[in-house]
Amino acid sequence: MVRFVARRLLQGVAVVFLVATLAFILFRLAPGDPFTRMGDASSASQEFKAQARRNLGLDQPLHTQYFRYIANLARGDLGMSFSEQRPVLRAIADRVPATVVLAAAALLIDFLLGIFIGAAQGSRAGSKADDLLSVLTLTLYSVPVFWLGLMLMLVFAHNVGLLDLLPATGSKTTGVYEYLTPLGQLTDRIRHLILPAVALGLVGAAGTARYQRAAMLDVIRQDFIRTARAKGLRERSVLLGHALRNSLLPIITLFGLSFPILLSGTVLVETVFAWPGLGKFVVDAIFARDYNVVTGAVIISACMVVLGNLLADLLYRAVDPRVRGVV
Amino acid sequence: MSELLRVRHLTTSFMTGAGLARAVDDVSLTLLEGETLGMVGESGCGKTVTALSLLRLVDRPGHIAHESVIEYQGKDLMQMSPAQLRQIRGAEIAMIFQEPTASLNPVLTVGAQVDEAVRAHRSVSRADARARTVELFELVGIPDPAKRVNEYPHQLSGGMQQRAMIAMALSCNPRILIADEPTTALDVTIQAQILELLVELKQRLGMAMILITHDLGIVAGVADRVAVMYGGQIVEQANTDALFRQPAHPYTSALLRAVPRLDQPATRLATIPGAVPPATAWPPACRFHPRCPQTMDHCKSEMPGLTETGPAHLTRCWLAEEQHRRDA
Repeated sequence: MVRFVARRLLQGVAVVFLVATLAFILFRLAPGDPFTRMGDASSASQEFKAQARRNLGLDQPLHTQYFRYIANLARGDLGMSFSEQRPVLRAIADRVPATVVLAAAALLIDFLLGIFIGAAQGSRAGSKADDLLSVLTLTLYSVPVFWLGLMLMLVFAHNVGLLDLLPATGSKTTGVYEYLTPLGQLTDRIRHLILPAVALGLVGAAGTARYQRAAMLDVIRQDFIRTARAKGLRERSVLLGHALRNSLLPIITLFGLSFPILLSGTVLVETVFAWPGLGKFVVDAIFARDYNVVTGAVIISACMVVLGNLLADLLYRAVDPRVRGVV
Repeated sequence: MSELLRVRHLTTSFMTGAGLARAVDDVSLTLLEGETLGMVGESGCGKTVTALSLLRLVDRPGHIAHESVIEYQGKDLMQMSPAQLRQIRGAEIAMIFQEPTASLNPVLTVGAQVDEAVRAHRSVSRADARARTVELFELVGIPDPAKRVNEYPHQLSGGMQQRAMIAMALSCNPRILIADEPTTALDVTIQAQILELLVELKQRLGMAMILITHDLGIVAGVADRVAVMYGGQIVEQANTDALFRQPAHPYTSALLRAVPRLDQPATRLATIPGAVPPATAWPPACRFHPRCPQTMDHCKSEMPGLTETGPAHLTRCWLAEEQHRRDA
């Protein structure tokens, strides 16, 4: 068990370094640097720009930049943010918690709702409720996350929404938050979290429900379900005790795969809801050609994906005894 | 001996893309206390669906016709509520299946799966259920039962898995054990062991057994009575001795000729020409007539009934009926 985790972590480090290299090359391949902006010939003089490039090491040959970058990375140094004038790691660290909270909430909605709907559908396949839910989930799955976010705002958000129930943007009420009691602060944050998390989680849940339905249908036809019924178990025990657990195996794989998709989803949702997380920060950094921030964010995302997959593998081992001792 | 199970007009059909498949068509049979009834026939003749229908375990799109009667000790299973039916399943009538590997849940320990069967019918503590499971594992000859209960199905061999299934089936001392091809998926050497075990336990526990198989050799050694199925119907039913000595239905005779024998000079093994027709397209009249070597005109126009052609000997064949009338 310990050896398994250690080996997977070591593999993860290799993956992260590969991702870092790719990110470095990709962003250097794009034309321009932090001091060239489209149609921007003014503001700073050519001399100033050249001096700034020298200071940041951007005048060095690419391979020199690369080795310095990797050497720094090995020490946990992601470099300086050009636009924020402070270490990238600190700038990212400020934003990661908000993204993690949003992603975790979305994951929770995604998988709890998706598994529930899918399992219910799978155990009543062919019924009217199943058909209705299929139409609903397929529609939801086809909807872009940012559009769903905007629609949710139009219905539920303060000022713009029909129902005027929840805050539309940000992660807390500016100017008021500091004066709230701890419980009030928590409530405020949760109220801000609901819309973006639902937007992101709902689309995921629709997809998860499709997989869960298929997995449930597959398991329900298996011989051991017949055995469970033959020994006189209640239908509820047959479904929950025997069918559901087996049907979760493919969903765990989906869980591991959903991390990168979820992270790209947060970029969109954070932009729509002005959520102060990593996604919005990265979008801004890309437009500012703030290399170190972008590569840094890519590396942090790679770490999250690696850890997510490790988590999925550990879950798999917990649910399926057959893989224990194999991987 | 009194009647334990009385099945009348059991008809199970499946709605398929190719039309309605009457997999089991008007099957009537009786099982006496303590006896072993063998059910034989080729693949696709309706043996397994008959067995599943007895406990109403046929999944959609399968459907058991309402006029079917499945009486266990005078109570009709067809009229029972799901809750009443649950009290019969596993407790009064238990079942073991063809593929032990597929019939056990891969993510639960074998012990947990037997515990569950015990606890489904008896209000006992987890510890007491586990003690009963260990006792059952010992009964079915699983070595080191206290350790084996904690293992997962994939850690057991096919033979051990089937023993665990038998332990599960016996957990509540059922009166009837339905064994659907219990040895088909196992190695030949293991087959004999499992069969011996079933026969021994049946006698020790005083159960009645319905043994479904395509292997006439097994039936000859184990069953008291035999029902031969073809095309979803019972075509011949008799005491084992009578059936093997004087088969009345041409299909039974053909099946017996197709059994390889060691006590006779090697000749080319007899086969039955053609194959079992699909359940969506049973031939009209006698279902065996397209493959029967003794077809008469009458066989193609009218379905024969299951009539007495000897003492306790029923046959569904115009020829057998005629011969019986001539002899009498």
